[in-house]
Amino acid sequence: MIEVEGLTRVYHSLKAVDGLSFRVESGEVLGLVGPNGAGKTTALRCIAGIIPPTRGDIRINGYSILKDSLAAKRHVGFMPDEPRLFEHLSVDEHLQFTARIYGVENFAAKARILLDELELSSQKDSLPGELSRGMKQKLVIACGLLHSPENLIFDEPLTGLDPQGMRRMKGTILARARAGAAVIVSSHLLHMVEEICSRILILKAGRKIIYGSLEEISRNRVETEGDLNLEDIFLRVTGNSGGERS
Amino acid sequence: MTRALHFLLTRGFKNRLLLRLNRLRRPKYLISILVGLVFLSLVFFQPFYPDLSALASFAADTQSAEAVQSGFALLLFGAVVFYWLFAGERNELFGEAETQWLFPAPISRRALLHYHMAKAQIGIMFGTILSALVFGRSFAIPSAGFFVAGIWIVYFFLYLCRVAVILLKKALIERGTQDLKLKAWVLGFIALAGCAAAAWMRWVDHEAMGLRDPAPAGPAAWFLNITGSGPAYYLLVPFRMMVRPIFACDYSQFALCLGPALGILVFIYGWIQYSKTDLGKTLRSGIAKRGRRMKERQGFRSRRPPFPLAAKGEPFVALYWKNLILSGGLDLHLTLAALAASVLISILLASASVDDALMIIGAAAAALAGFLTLLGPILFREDLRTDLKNIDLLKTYPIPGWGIVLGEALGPATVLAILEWELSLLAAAALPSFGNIPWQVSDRIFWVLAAAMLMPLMSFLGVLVQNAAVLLLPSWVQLGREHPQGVEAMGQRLITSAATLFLLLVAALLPAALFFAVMQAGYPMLGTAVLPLASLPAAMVLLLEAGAAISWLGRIYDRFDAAYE
Repeated sequence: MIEVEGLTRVYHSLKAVDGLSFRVESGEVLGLVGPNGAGKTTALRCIAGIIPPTRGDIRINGYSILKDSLAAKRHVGFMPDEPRLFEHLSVDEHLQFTARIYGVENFAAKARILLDELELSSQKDSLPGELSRGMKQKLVIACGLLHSPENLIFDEPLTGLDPQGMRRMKGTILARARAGAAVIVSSHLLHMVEEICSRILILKAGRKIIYGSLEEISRNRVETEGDLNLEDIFLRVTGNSGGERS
Repeated sequence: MTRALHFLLTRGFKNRLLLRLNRLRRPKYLISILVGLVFLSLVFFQPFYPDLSALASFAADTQSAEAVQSGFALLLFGAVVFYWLFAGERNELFGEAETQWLFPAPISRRALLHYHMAKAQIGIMFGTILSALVFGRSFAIPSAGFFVAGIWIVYFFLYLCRVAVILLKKALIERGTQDLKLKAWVLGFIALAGCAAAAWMRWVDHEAMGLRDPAPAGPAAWFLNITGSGPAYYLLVPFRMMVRPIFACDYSQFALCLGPALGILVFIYGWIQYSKTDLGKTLRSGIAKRGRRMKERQGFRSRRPPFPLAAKGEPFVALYWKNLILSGGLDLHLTLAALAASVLISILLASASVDDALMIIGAAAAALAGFLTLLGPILFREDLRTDLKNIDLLKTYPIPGWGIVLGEALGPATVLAILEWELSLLAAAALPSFGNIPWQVSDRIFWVLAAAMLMPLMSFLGVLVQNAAVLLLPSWVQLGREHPQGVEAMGQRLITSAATLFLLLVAALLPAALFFAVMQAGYPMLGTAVLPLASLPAAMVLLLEAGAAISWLGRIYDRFDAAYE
């Protein structure tokens, strides 16, 4: 379970995230959407423990990322949008390395299953220089899932994947949620968010402007604005109605 | 060069300059540029410059001047060998953004090369000015103008050689030559050339002399004899041609020297221009492309894991394991060992007596071990200096700050320790007895034991100081492949180097005091056997200091905010 309370992050004079609060329960998939510069990545980096919040707190399975960061980090898998890999470690060595970091028992079997699931088995001896962007993305995801974390954070998980890879990735995210993981997915692909997320949080200028299930959000809008999909709602609430339906 | 490339070059330079000027509002950048400027002015106006009149008079002598030229030529030869062994593995010709933007654009290969050359001129010019300021004061230079022009020619030659070697290596690797085999060829050639030169000195040119029995002309004649006759002479001919313009006395001599030097530059430029090697593909991608097939065929791997990594245990060991792989481990070691072996064989062959050869080998090994202890931590950088670009990844790991610092610093410290142990052993085995210093087998063992304890710990502290600089002043440190240039970067390097040496000196004070106290008390009774005993408390203190530094740096890492730096 991920609990975010009053999360604020300030860069010099810029408030990138401003008093953000939400909660992701086990088995839930939260879609984090917002225009460029809304503070999505900053919020995710704070939740993953990469940068400290200026104010507020984040609890992962009850562990505060500020007070008990190591315990909190053990229960999180973070998959960034830009796959960063160590250039002289092969695919298999990346998994060995991750297994040691998280102390994964019986890692070889788990790694084999993940490599098969993400179609990387034939690349297990390849160095990052030999991998395409999509394969690198898959490797980062394999490393993030290796320790079977109960909380998953995906920042633009479909970037660089082919259509088959996208379908598999959506399946992987849903399967993990069904197995009890709390999942946050940040993406600009609103149809994907609509398809797999049980709750949606729209950020604008660091502030939460909409939070709830798609049905709840639509229901609130239907009365005043008629039948809308997520894209319409997004464009209206973020003030960019250039593509608005007539 | 197209207008677009010209725009990219000039606007990029202008914006970089403006950014640097803007950064001067922050005190640490202002201080660093002031330090750089003060250093340059001290060099230029010479108030504190060391008295190099002896060196100047040495260089003024005709024979010595030729020796200096031969020395420079040998350095150039060494640089080209270095390119053959290592160039292109870390720094590619074009950056990621350049590859992404320029290569799909309708720009000719010639225009791209000219753009690359024009861009390189910034560094070449800066290096030329700096070298002219530093070396121009050290030697009796006949003409400042010729000197500056000559230095520029040398730097441009080195630049062209690097580009040519990278392209040639890339072409060979793409045609199926293994990277390791290529290195073996280069080392084989060096060994062959060294042995041929040494054998010539020993059996053909009988004027070779031992170090303990220098001829009246002294070391300059000895060096000239080695580099100026037989195979070594012919090997160094092109490099000598490149350095001659620096030492020209008048216009006619400069013009005479300029012809061959420019001829060589034009030849290399022509080769680069008309070779068909693709500039876009990197050397690493070439290696990667061949890699899979080679691995399948010959079990080839560019970097081998140093030990199997178990899934259970302290997580920081994973970082240590990774850094040992990144540092090149076995391959780097094999390359250095082969290079050292070829040099040793050459020295043995060239020396008048075995004692002379052992003296040279032992002294060189001891000096290199000392050099690595103090400056090795600056050279071996597979720690936070490489990994800070992956800080987002590191920060997600459930490893305490001290674990991250320890895991990162252990990699380069281990590589340095192994090199220091090997060099200490070599020095102790090779050095003949000297004066009244006791030098039996047991004495040698005691010296080695003492060095084996103290040197690696000193380098470990040095590595920690470098990592402290990364965490405290990340924007001052050269991270990954970046190589900042300019007065400000020079000032930053001067400050960090001075701070590193100062901190090492402070860290060594108490251990040194303990070492000498135990030596003083125990030497009359135990002789050299007291050396390892005196090293023990000193090593303990160094370990404690390292532990305290790791704990402190760990806390800094935990508070480190990647977003601000």
